[in-house]
Amino acid sequence: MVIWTIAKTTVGEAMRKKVLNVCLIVAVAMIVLALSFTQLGFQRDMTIIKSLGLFVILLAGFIISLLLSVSLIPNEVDRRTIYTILSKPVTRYEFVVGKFLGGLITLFINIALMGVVFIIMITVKAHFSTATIGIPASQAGAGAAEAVSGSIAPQAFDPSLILGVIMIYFQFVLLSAVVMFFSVFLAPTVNFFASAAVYVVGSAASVWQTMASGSSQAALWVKALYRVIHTVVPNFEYFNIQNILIHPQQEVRSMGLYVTESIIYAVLFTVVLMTIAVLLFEKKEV
Amino acid sequence: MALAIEIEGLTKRFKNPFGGELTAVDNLDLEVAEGEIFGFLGPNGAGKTTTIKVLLGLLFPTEGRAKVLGKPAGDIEVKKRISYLPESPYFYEHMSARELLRFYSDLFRIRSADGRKRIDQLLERVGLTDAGDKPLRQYSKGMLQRAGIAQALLNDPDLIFLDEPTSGLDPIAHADICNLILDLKAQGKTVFVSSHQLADIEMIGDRVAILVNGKLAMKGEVRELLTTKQVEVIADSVSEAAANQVRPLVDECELHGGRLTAYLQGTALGQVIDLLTRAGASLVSINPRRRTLEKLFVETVRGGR
Repeated sequence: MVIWTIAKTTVGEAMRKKVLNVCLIVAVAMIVLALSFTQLGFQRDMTIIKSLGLFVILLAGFIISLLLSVSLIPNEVDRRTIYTILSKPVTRYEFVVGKFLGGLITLFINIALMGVVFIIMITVKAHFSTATIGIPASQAGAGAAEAVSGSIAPQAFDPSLILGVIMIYFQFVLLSAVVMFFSVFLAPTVNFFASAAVYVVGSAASVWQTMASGSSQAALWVKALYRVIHTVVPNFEYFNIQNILIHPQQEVRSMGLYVTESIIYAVLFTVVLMTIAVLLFEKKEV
Repeated sequence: MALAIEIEGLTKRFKNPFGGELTAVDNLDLEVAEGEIFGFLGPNGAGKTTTIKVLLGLLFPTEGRAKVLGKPAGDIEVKKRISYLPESPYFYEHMSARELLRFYSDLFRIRSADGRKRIDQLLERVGLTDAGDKPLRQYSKGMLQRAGIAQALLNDPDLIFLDEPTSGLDPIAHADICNLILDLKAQGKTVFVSSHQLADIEMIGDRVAILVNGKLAMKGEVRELLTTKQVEVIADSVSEAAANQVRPLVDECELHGGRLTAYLQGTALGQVIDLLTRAGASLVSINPRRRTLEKLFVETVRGGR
């Protein structure tokens, strides 16, 4: 109950943060504006629009999760609101988890809003494009699509895009956990850059894996270093399924299983990071 | 006498990343009895807020120990029975006072029906019934302080820590908060007040401690600390000649426009009154001399540095 109370208050406050609202509005505007792109024919335009839309959600999600999580605990200390909270019968674990949960709910609302706008826009675009060339969207099958672009069918509603948005959300759940972990012992500015660096490094996980592999020409200690990076830094690359979604002709053996595994990975990594963060916060003086 | 607060050899040092060390509280011993108003005084940076934070479990002692209501400071069961109003409290500005109190009553795990009733009572008690639904960002400093007091009373605490509860308030709000502290004492609560408003502590406090540079410089009952063995005599229509006759008998003497104010030992009182009466002076008052807490504070702080 206490965790939920703190989470609700965190959401109420975060949703009023102007900088986050501006990010959200700009992102939604960019998603809407992307629909006006009509240059290369329907299928290629749709590919670019989907790509652009998912990229905008990814970028906005990155900025929002970073800006939001980096200030969740330090703001409470700076404004001294933490004193009136922790002097009540609230454990430090409840406080940290409540703040984190509030951050995740806020992130969910933001990404869900962008995702809903994105999917509606794509659906509307597909509907009107097929209607313009005389194909009912509901009947737009492979044959009709080939007539349009020589490629695959434009769908009125593409549910796989929801998976893309879900994967974006979960990678920022993981990033938020990284930020919360750092926020226990780093100043907000340092935390901002450290977490951003972790995200960049974690987004190139396959590079570190390759460098650490036997085929690399690097020295042994360098390989060991790459192996440590690959093991310790969360692998954000798992969540980048945009290419598969944008190019549906790519074969994926089991998308459902892959998404589930990735989400489990995000949840487990988050639990580990938050457990360490809570243990550190127990000893932190405020 | 049951103790609300027991501090033994409390030392709190802060270290900076370069190895430097600052001793905020140095080997402090202090006891606060249940049911008293305890004034915790000291200049800025003396270690008052650090001590309060240790008692609340927000900071951990470097050495020594601190017990609150019989249990170690920071104990979660103790936190159900204590409350804290920080200096210049800041609350979530998007909330109204009513929402703020609901938030804190949830943190106290007060059942929502009881909580609603208690919130209405407290808003009335601190004079915020009409403004209870306005966002806190529209509140004046005095109103915020009242909201802060209300949140500190939500759990009907046995022990309340107030850090500068009257600073920056208008005289009405100031008086209201002093009266509220006296009401709390009448209900048997213990009030631990850190304040620079020495006149308030002098008026309402039972005991005080003065902290200088993290060390306890003085502690005791307000009445005892401020009472001296001297007597103050004030008389009108006193001539310069009569004043000159009185001077050798008293410790201090001032004559302004025929009014004489003299401070003397009780043993000389009869002689001085005789002398003044014979000289045709009219006695205005004879009182035991009391020091002000402000004077005691200044002397203690200057002496402690």
